[in-house]
Amino acid sequence: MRSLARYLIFLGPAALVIGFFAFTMSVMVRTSFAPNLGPAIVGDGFTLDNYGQFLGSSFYLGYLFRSMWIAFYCTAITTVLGFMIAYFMFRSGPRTRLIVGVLLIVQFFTAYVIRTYAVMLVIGRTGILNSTLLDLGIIQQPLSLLFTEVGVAAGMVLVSLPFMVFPIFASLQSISPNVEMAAASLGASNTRIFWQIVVPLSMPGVAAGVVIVYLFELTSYIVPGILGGGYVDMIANLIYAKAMQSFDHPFAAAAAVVTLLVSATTIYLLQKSFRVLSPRT
Amino acid sequence: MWNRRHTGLKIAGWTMAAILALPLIVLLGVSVNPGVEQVFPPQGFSLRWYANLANRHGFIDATRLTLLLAVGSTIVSVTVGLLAGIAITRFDFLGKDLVLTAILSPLIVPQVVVGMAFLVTLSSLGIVTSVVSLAILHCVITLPFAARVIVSALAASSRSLEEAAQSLGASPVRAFLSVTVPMIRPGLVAAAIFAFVTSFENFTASQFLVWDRTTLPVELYNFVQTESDPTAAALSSLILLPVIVLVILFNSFIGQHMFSRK
Amino acid sequence: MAVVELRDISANYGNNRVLSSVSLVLAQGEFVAVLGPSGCGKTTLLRVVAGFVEHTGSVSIAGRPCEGVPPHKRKIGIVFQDYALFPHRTVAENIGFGLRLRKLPRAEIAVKVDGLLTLLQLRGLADRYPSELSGGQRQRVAIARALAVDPQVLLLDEPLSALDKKLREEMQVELRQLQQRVGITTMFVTHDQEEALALADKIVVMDRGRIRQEGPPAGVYVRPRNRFVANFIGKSNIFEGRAAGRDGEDLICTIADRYGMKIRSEGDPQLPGAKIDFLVRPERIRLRPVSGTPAGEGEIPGTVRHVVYLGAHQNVHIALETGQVIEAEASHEHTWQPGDAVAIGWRPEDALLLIED
Repeated sequence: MRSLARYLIFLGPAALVIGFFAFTMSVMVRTSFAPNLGPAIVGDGFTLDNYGQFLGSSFYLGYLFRSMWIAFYCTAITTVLGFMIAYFMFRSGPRTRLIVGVLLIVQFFTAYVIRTYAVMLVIGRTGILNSTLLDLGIIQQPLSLLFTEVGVAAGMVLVSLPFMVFPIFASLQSISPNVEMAAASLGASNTRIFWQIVVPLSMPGVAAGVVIVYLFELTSYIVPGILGGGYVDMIANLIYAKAMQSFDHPFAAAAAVVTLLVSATTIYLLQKSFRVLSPRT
Repeated sequence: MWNRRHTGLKIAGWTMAAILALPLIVLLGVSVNPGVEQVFPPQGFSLRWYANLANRHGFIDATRLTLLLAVGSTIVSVTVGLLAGIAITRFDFLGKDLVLTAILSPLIVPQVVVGMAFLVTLSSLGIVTSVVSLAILHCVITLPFAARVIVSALAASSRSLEEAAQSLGASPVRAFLSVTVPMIRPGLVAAAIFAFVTSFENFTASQFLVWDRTTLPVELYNFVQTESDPTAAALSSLILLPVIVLVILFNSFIGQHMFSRK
Repeated sequence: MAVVELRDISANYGNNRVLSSVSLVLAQGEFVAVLGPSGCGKTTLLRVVAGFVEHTGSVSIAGRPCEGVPPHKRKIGIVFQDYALFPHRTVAENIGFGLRLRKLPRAEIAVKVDGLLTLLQLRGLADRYPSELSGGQRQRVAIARALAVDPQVLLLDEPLSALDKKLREEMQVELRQLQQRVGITTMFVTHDQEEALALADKIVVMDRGRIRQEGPPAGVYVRPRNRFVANFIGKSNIFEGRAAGRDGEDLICTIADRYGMKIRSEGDPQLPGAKIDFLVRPERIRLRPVSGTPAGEGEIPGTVRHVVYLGAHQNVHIALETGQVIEAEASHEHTWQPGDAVAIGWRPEDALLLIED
């Protein structure tokens, strides 16, 4: 087979798909610089108005900052809890690992919408959380968790957990058992071994998990959508609203581009700082 | 072998596992509640909400569309991914890393941005959204998932086996088909599963492209926002149950390997 | 003075009994090789000393019982087969790990680490990471790290198995010299009998959770007590026969009811007709080409089946007339060919009676 024909056949289809993807991205960037001439009418000119509108308004920027903040602390919580689950699996026997593993994989393969809806059923006014707390007399009135940041945060963490657990568990598994025994033989107690051996050697997994989870939470639509009910909108909700309700495509495009840049920068910075934390592993 | 006390960890671990399991259990329970409220534990047992699904044409149509998209994009992304994967792992050319990065690039773009990009593109081209545009969207989204799995499966399968087959008289195509393909079969299956699930459950990007037909996740989302009877729970359970069964079955055969010690 | 005392150690792994009532003593400065096939329990025994395995029976190190003493409080140093270096620490940090845990002043740690770097020929590698070292270098870092904390006993779990042959032999010599220099009591686990013979002051041969024989290398090699040890250490030809009286110092034994052979054995009363197993090492078999004079007294006839050329000598595989196939080590004085007629024999003092226990 001639060289060119070969490459065409094998790489051509992928090139088509990714090419189209790149095309859509470039149209979006182009649109972000276009004037808005009315609902879903995009002008031909070039203007920085959309960016100005977005970046100059504390109202709109607020969405971005709020998203970054919520994603930040939710990722932190997810990391701690995720590490705990991964470590629990690591120290447990095969049966426990299987049970928890199945639990996580089921989450992994179930749509976000469904999982978020399920969380809603738990923390809603008539949900089991409230009914249990009421029955136990811990609270007098049902807690309003839905439509608040707390509810959204809880949902974020629950939905993101599987993505944090898997990479951390993989890292933990790659630690040779002899290394821990060597440390013990040199005088390290279990606590010492945990902090000086286990945690540092699990960093690559933690890094991978943090990157995936932060990105997911920053740009999440479904969780604030279902659990926030419009009161805790994040950047993705804003973009959707501007595009599909206000039909201001240029503005939405600008917001999307900014979001993309923030995401890319964050990934880069996160990976860089984790590389510093774990040399040579 | 190593005698350690982990009671604190065990309690914490099982508590977390319970918290993870709770929402899904509640979902299943609510779906069989005879009453109209979405309460747990259910006040009885009734399948009326499941029956109700048959009446809702929106759900049925959405299911049809979603399945169509999922099957279609799985076939496309696995095929495209396999072709590209062969090129990346078997051919010699400059810029292999770049090609792979390009194919995986949609992974780092947030869903909402992808949806937005498709929306404005179709709008600016004057194209009306339809099954075709949704299909292209889903192919773009699923390709990186499929390609990633396939490329690593191909990379792991040794070239020398193919070369051995060729030395015995098989043409390169024959060698590939009869030696490598069987070896990467698990990878292909995994890629197909990932692609299927990714397409099936896709919401955020898809919602930019729906018209009077929607996909199942979008339909479900809208229903949850507007209504509050257990029908949504019934539908969700219908999707959830096969997943649970399949995962348990799969793990009973393979599970020990996936999670056991080295 | 005993540094390590193991008494009646038994251990299980699941439903399997891995160690059965094992007792062993390591004297001060002794290099003890625990030798056996995989699954014999030798590694488990080492882990019992380290404190990683639950067991019945008692362990004491330097006179102090280890009951309830966790591994990190015992004064031991371990070197593993896969070295188990901390991948995220430099060579110097690996070696100094135990010292830092003991909160020694920095200056003191630096001096000690430096000394060990010189002792183990690791100069110039202090700031490297394990991933940047060769197998032999990693091995030395592992040893240095274990020695740094001045352990009372050094435990080595097949430390040289991962090295290639030449490097392995070099390291064996280095290790032994190092051990003698430092004078540390050492327990060395291996499945390689040549390694054990070369390194140890005392060899302990284990099989299926029990000790089958212990003693100095020469003793174990020349006088194996039973079939297992005879087969495991060195090559052996094992003959079966029946006792048929004595001739002075020697026991007469008939093989296949035809051939009368002599075995030197003092004071072992064997009733005539009793079944006897005995061993003759390949290098002690005497070969005589049969051309003219047929096999006579004290000889068994046979035919050469196969010859293996081994540079310094040759291994001749012979099918005896009795049906048994034996191996003999011969010099190149005579070139043997498959098919040659041969008569084999041995000096009575080169045959060893085996006791089954």
